[in-house]
Amino acid sequence: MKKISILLSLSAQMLSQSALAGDMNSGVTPKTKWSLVNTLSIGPSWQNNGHQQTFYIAPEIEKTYTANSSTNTLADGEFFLGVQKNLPRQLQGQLGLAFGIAGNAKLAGNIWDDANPQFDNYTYAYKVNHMHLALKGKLLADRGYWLMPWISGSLGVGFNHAYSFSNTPTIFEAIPNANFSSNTETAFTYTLGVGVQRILNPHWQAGIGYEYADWGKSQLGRALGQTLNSGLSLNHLYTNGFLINLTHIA
Amino acid sequence: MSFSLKIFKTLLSVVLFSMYSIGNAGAPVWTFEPLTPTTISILPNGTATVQYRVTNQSNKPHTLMMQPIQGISQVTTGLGVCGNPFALAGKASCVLTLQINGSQINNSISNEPLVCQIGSTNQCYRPAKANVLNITKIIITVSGSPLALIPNGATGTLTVNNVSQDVTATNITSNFSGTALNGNVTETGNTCVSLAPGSSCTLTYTPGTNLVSQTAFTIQGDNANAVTAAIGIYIATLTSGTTNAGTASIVLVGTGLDAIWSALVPIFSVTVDNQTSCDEEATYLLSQFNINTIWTQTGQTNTGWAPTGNEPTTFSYQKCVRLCTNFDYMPPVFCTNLVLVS
Repeated sequence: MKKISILLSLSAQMLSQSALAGDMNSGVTPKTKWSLVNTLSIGPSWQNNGHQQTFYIAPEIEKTYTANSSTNTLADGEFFLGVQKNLPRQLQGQLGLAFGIAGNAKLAGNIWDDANPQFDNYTYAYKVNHMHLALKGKLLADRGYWLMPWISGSLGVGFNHAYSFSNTPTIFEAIPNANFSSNTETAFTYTLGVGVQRILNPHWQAGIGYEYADWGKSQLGRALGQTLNSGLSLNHLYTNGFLINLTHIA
Repeated sequence: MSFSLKIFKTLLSVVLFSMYSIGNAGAPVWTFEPLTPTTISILPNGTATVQYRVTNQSNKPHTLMMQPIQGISQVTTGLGVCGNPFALAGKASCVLTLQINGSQINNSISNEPLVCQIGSTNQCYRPAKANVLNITKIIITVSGSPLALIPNGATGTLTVNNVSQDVTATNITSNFSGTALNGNVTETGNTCVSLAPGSSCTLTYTPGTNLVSQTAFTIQGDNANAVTAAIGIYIATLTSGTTNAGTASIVLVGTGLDAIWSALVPIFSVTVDNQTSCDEEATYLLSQFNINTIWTQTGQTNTGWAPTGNEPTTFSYQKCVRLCTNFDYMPPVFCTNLVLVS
């Protein structure tokens, strides 16, 4: 979060400097009308870890699910459709709807029976994939330089599908548990982004940016024979991505 | 950083890593200590009992229940015997007693029993790999073993019996691979391609030229248990041995005994008293006597082995006896098979 704050602060500073610079030559012809804009962004993302959870799944059956510390790379993409308008102080604003989709976040760890590390007898793994539909805004500073800095943010609804839970005994004596069932959670999601892009011609722009996303809540369903609580859950699943974008402005 | 501090840090790292490794080794929440053998071959109408001491290794209480197994019932009466279900406080234990009923077992049982937290299959454990139940239902048995053959001599047969009531055993053959018999004995006859319940068939063996001491091998069918039989190829073979009501006179009947006699005065060895079979040569207690002093041989050309009057006046029943060549007590010494004298 600290890195994100620094990046966002720098971007905001760049944008404010652009605004204070006044009417310098712009790379594109200023448009006072609303223009239709659409952007395709794709690139790799890195998920953060899950976290350790302890709960009863039935009377006298309490288990701790630890979280492995390794991060996982996944594909990330977004299509943005909106409008753009030139704003005062050499700023351009975009507002519209973003549809995002991400590959499988893979979460794994160990299972301690009786919530006791002495009985560290299983490993587990499952996946979460994510889609979202969000209201997204983007602010670009066009000071006529080779690159335009921008910041973005979105708020919306996400659909997190947790699935393919499996558990594997690590000792012969332990018998595999029933697997948690798949489940899709509808959750509040948001993104924050910062980056640069270059004007290729009056209609096309390309760039790269960093995007921090919170997918919101994900949760597995109950396992067969489970009578208490639900499956593993995460209130937040954070990703950090570097996305290349291609923008068309009508 | 001082040298001693570096050493301290290194040692601390090793200790912490060891603790981490131990902590991640895993351990069953409840364990099974076998109190009886757990690998059992059971006849179709037989019964057997297996017991485990089940111990809750956790500090938390657990109420447990064994998962049902076809052909196995849990005995729940007796001091310290686990009930069904059974509650174990932290670190407590009880004896899980299992009654195995051969008539209710369809085939074989392995990797059991599973004992789970009651009401759920989300916390179940079984015994360690060396201690799981391994129950094999006997379908075939073998009679005529151990079989004694003479190099390049006559063939011998073993009889295979299907003791099941409803299973037809198929493709029963001998497996010599990995044994000293491989290449020295050939299965030259087999009437055991399909063996109906309650029926018998024969396997015929032809010896080669080499001597082979008594060696175990397996006989198995496609759908039948493996049974162990044994064949030896000896310089001569004994087929029976009798003594006359406790007197010192022993009569041994065999084949090829000339080979023993021609090597000067034979010696013989006996087992301890009260044997019932001569299957395991390793148990024999070797003693040496002058054969001329105590016995008679019949059935072969040499008949001069008569008591001299110097022999012991009694001979205990139920001893396993064999004859060996005697090159003035110098090796090599060749022996017959063992025969039970009764």
